Amino acid sequence: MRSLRLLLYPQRVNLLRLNERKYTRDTREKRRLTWMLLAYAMVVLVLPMYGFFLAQGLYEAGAADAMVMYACALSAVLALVFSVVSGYNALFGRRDTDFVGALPFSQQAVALSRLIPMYLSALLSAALLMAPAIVFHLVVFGVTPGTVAVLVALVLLTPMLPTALGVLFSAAIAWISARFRHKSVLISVLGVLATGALVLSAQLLPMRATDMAGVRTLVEAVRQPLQAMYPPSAWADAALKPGGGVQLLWFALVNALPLGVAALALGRYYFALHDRVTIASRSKAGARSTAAPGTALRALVVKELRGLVGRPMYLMNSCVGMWLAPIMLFGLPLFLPDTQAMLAQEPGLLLLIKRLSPVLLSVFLSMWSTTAVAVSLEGAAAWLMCTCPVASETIYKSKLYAHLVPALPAVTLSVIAGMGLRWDVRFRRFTFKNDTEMVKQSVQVLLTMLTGTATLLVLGGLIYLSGAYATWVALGGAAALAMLSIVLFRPLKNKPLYLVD
Amino acid sequence: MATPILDIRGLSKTFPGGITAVNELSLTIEGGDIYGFIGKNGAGKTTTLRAAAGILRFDQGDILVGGISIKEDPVACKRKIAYIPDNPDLYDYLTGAQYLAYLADVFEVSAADRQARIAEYGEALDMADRLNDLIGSYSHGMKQKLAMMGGFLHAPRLFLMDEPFVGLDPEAVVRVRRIIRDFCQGGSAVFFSTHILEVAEKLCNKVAMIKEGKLIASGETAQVRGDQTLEDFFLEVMEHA
Repeated sequence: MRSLRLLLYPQRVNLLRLNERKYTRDTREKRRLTWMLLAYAMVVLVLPMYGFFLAQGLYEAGAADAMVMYACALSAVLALVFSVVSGYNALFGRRDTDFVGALPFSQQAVALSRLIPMYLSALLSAALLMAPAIVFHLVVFGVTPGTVAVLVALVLLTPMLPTALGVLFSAAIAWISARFRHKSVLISVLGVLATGALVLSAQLLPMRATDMAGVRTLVEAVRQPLQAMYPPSAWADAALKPGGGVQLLWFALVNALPLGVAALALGRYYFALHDRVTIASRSKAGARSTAAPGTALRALVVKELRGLVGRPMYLMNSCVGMWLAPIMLFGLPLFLPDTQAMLAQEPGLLLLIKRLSPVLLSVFLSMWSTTAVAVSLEGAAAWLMCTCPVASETIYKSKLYAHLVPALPAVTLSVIAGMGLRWDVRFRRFTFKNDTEMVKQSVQVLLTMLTGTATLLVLGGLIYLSGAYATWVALGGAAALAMLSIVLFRPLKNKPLYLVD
Repeated sequence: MATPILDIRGLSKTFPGGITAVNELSLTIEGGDIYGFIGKNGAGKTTTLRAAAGILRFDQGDILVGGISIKEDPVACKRKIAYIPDNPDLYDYLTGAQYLAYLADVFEVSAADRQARIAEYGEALDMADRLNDLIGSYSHGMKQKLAMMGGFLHAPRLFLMDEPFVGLDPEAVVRVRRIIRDFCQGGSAVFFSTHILEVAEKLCNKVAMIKEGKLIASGETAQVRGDQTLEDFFLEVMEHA
């Protein structure tokens, strides 16, 4: 216990980055960490809210008996996601492995100190998501000590199987990451496919459930396949009914046993496994011949694009939506039978969609920009840009062009790219700890999204209101945006880049 | 004859892909030794140090720390060891004082000893005024000095250091050399890898040279280099061995 307590200390003391916030002397950083606390609080609120809507929807549709089962299945999926992410970082991605490995702790204690936070993060996510369903269940079916005990057991047990699977998946990811040269591309492709699957299912399900009766039918239709895919959800369902003790036992066994096995295996082989998956054979191939000489701008654009592809977090957050959103917005709904029927009944609606589609498309595209963190993402390597004999203007251009390549050239996009660049130059920060912090938690990304969307909403509104003159307004708007992009870019020309304040 | 503090016997380590980093390396370090480990990049220095610190599993041979096999009882061995890697990745979100308190707890250093040693080494390494700052705000050299303070905190029998002088300012190099000498006079030993041959020549009573995983020279510094400088000897053996 003493070993575990000590090994968990570094993780515990900086929970929610409180230790950093307390001791940093940088007031800007302190302020930023305070805002991040608020962001954490919002994330914590989102899960029970989602759980609440799920439980309430099922309750109102007369499917109250299915609330816990669905919450349990969703929690397991969520816990798996949390486990894979936290497992990769905790087990194979941490930089302190050598440091901890040289301390006088048993391998078992080190392994457990990595596994426990994984389980706890999965438990927290599962508990937050399941809490509303549990409250609804107790209100609807009554509070008895037996029911409460079963529900508590379900909450505690549900994240165990995902945690064990998280160990496996994170080991696989670490193994691939150490060996596969194009792992970032693979992660990006998998990310696009997963996002596509999620958006597609979100688009398909509500079409068949437009009222409460429909929801009830949908709940019943999904119940069987869900229970077949994830049998513990069936046992959770049965455990809450009279005589469900055996089912609860099965649920406990299927969840606790894999985690126990994972804990034992890690306790025995953690360091060996760590070395095995993270140390790859060194390439024996010599350096390939370099490409034909080109201009500095071309080299910079290529570097930007490689940086984009090489950072899945950056690519997924700044680019993928550019292709995914329009397809999901226009492509899928138009081909769904329900939508087609609706458009046949109201031909005016189709005309309106056609008229506004460039703007709607632009609105979607305006929510992403690679430039919003392109300057800051140079990070610790910013010295390279500082010392290379290239004008700041060329560097800015390379970042703009790199944005336009994946987004397809369009005048509206150049405005968004210009806005992103302006915001990032204004709020640039090279001291981030990882790409996620910059891409997900920077003020410049938020501002780019807001200003880009607002600009295009104004244009869309004008086109909508202009009736017969819509085409002229659209052309005029495009010209104005082109001017705006020049106005945004020109002052940057003479602004020195990468000088740290 | 006293039990060596570190006894490496026929150590071999091959990484996936068949690259042999260390090949049947044997080395003995006695109490009081300041042992320099010299070799080119990729020669196997870090692999040897990591294996001796109990971090890296090896394929053949054994490593004894104070007569105890690191394979059989790694925890007992690690209690006698301190290790700092070449790039000390410390917890950026802890303060220097929190980090040292953490290590003192890990090694069960008494309150009086920890206070005295933190004061002593904080003063000696010119770190006393910065211990309440976050490690994330330290320079590379300061992190290196803090990692060293953490190593000295539990008065180890053997201090393994991977490139300890990289990133230190000249004054810090002098201070660290002085501290290492004092530390080894008390009967402990330091085994460190370095590329700075001048430091090794002035500081170490023994040196070992490694090339492509094999030990090519080891022993008393004066005997190893003969009438040449260590630099000349190193260049010669790297070329001909």
